[in-house]
Amino acid sequence: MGHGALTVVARPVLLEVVHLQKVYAQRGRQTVAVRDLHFRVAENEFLAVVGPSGCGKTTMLRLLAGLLPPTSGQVLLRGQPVTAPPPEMVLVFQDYGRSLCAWRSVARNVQFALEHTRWSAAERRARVDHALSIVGLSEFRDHYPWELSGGMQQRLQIARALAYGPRILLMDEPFGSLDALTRADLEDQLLDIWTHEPKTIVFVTHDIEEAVYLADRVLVLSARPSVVVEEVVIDLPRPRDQIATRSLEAFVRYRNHIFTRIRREVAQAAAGALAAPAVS
Amino acid sequence: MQRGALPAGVAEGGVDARRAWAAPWAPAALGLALRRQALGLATLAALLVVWEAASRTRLLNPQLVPPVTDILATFGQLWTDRPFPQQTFVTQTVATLWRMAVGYVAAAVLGIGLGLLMGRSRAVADLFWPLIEFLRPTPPVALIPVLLLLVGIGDQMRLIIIAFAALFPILLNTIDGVRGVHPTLLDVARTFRFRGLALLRRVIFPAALPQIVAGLRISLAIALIVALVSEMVGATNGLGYFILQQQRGLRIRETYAAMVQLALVGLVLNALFVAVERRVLAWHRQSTGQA
Amino acid sequence: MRPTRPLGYALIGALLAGWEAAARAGAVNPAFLPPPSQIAGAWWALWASGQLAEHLAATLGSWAQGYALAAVLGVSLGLLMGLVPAIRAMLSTIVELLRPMPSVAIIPVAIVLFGLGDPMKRFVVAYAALWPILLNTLYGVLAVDPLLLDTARTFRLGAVRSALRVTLPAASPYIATGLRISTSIALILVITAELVASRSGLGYAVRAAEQASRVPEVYAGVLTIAVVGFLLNALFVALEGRVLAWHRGVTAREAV
Repeated sequence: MGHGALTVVARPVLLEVVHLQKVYAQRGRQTVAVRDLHFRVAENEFLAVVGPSGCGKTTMLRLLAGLLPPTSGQVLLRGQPVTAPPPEMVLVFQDYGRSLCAWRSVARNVQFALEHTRWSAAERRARVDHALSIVGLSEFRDHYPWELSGGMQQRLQIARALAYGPRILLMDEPFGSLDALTRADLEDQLLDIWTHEPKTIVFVTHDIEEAVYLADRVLVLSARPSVVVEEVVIDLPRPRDQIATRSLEAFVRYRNHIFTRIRREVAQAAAGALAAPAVS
Repeated sequence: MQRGALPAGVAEGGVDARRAWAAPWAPAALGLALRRQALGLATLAALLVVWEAASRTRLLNPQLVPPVTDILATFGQLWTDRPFPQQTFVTQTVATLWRMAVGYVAAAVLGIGLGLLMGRSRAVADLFWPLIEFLRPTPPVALIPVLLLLVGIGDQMRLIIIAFAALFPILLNTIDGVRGVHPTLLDVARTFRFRGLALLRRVIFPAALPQIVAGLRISLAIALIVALVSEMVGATNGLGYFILQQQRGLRIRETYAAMVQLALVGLVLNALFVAVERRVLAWHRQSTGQA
Repeated sequence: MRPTRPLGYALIGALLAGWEAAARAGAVNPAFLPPPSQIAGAWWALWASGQLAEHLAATLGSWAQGYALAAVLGVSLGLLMGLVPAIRAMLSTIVELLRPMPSVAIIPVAIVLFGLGDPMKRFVVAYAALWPILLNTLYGVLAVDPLLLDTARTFRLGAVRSALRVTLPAASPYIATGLRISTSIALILVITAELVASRSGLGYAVRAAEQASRVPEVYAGVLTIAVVGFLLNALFVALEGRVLAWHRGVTAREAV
């Protein structure tokens, strides 16, 4: 249950997920994707979400982003229910290829995020340039998405999100399709960005070590239909380092704990028993 | 999977081979192109020589199959028989192309507009779909007699039939293109507050454009064919009218020359289209290689 | 079923009803646009008298013969060009020059060579139907995964066996597409040839009726042609679906 907001140092609560449920009805059959999600996210917190395959992590993000209406429960942003994509939130997709505008150059893709904002043309240009330089794509501004590698395309998507300047960044396994080295690189870049331009990040991943490495707090979801079964506060020093942090004994402990928990969830789901939400 | 994409298991080499085949005039160096076509050109030349010889030696009846040189001479004549711009081929070609253009543009506007609507709204699609499914396989030329009854023998008939025939490939391809826009892209657009007309214009339309252009290409060929038929059936000018008149007047060499002219028109239109397509879709890469 | 599904049929029904009412009430001149009931009557009369069947047979006969010729020639030539680079190179220029020519342009020359009548029609249909079949077969052959061909080679299939047992099936979705496109092109051309220069067939019948001002017959004839087009297409799609059931994704509706 959502004790997380109390254990984290008194930062204001930005996002509140209240008994969120999503049921899909298809051809007379009901699929409960998300059974009961209930947690809080504090401002400028880096929250990671992990869980077994198919547990509805993506559905959860889309519910948070206002792209999907919940069957019951709500998502509250500063106390207001989210019914449509809120202006201060951006979702970064796993499938970067499909999320980019193939017909626009790199720079124009970033600009895509700004076309319905109130910045002036000069400000937009500046934001595009800034975003591209942060992710290191400035020299490729006139290239087209198909000319970029997978990692670069994902960086482009991130640049686009950054240019928009959202207070909340939702990320759906953004590095999942990338090779290990690129992933490590982007993880550090993300932490860098988060440190210099603080924002709230909700980061979904299947990679437990990535979650522990990046986050302030990790939510563990059960198998589908999902509930939050545990939340783990990650008390590791910042700035994080790929080698030093990952070698810490505490890191290994967190990682093992979460891994064991998820394995238990998968086993319980297989045995047909429903896991009751645990009090951490 | 995008329509027109190759089935799973097809190697990139296959796609490139097909592209290379489709546009042999594309390579930058014309010299390279000519060299690649050398065997083809030689075969063509050989064929023409055989034709010429057969016709001149009366192996083939020259009344029915005139020698190549005669045909070419007539072809030249029809291009230069009067002061510009009254040369036969100029006036007749312009007449045909003009009709074609008007009908084609009308079909494109209607087809893309309706296609965007039908692609986005299931209700609108359901409304028109059975009608379209029935009208589509109807050979448009079969409707010409009906139109003759309804609107008479003037240009209206021709324009309507050309537009009707050219409509369907554009419409259907537009619908497919719109439906094929990936939901992720639509989610992205919603996140960045694209809605309504802006969503249609700046996201859906460009994303569907490759498919729309495919439809436009098919329709171009159809528009030309139907324009010609409508002229053959009842008109006083145009290449379709002209070529049939020559045959009926037993002017055999002119008939063949007109056929050559039609081949030329087709060739030029196609080349123009490909050139425009290449610029408009410069950004487009088939996603066959990607996951 | 979606609630809006029947809308389209309702639309057709409404249009027909509106047409009938308007023609009967004289809102449109029934001399040029007779009510559907009258057209149905004329259709039945034509059918009963055997005339319709006669013309239908003539049209379908020419269609089928020209189509068959085009299919055999198109697939073999396409295979040959696809598999033998030398032949492909030799024929490439001719193909590229002839291909963009609108196929109806061949009609006057066909009349010169074959006169008016069935041989002319067959030739015209065969010529027009040849191109989609040839080109799609060629594309299909060129698109065959080289891996498949290598596999055939490791099993020591000879060139001919490899062509028939590996290439042909692998290219069959493309070939099917070409064959399907050609069914409608062939129909368009046979009707055109009949409209323009023939004494038999549905196209001729419609034109004759139009010139003699037998107006309901014109519509009846056009309706028959439309139904023929519809049925041929439906038949082909059904056939394609069964024969190519192993190949998903390609049997999706093609644009033309």
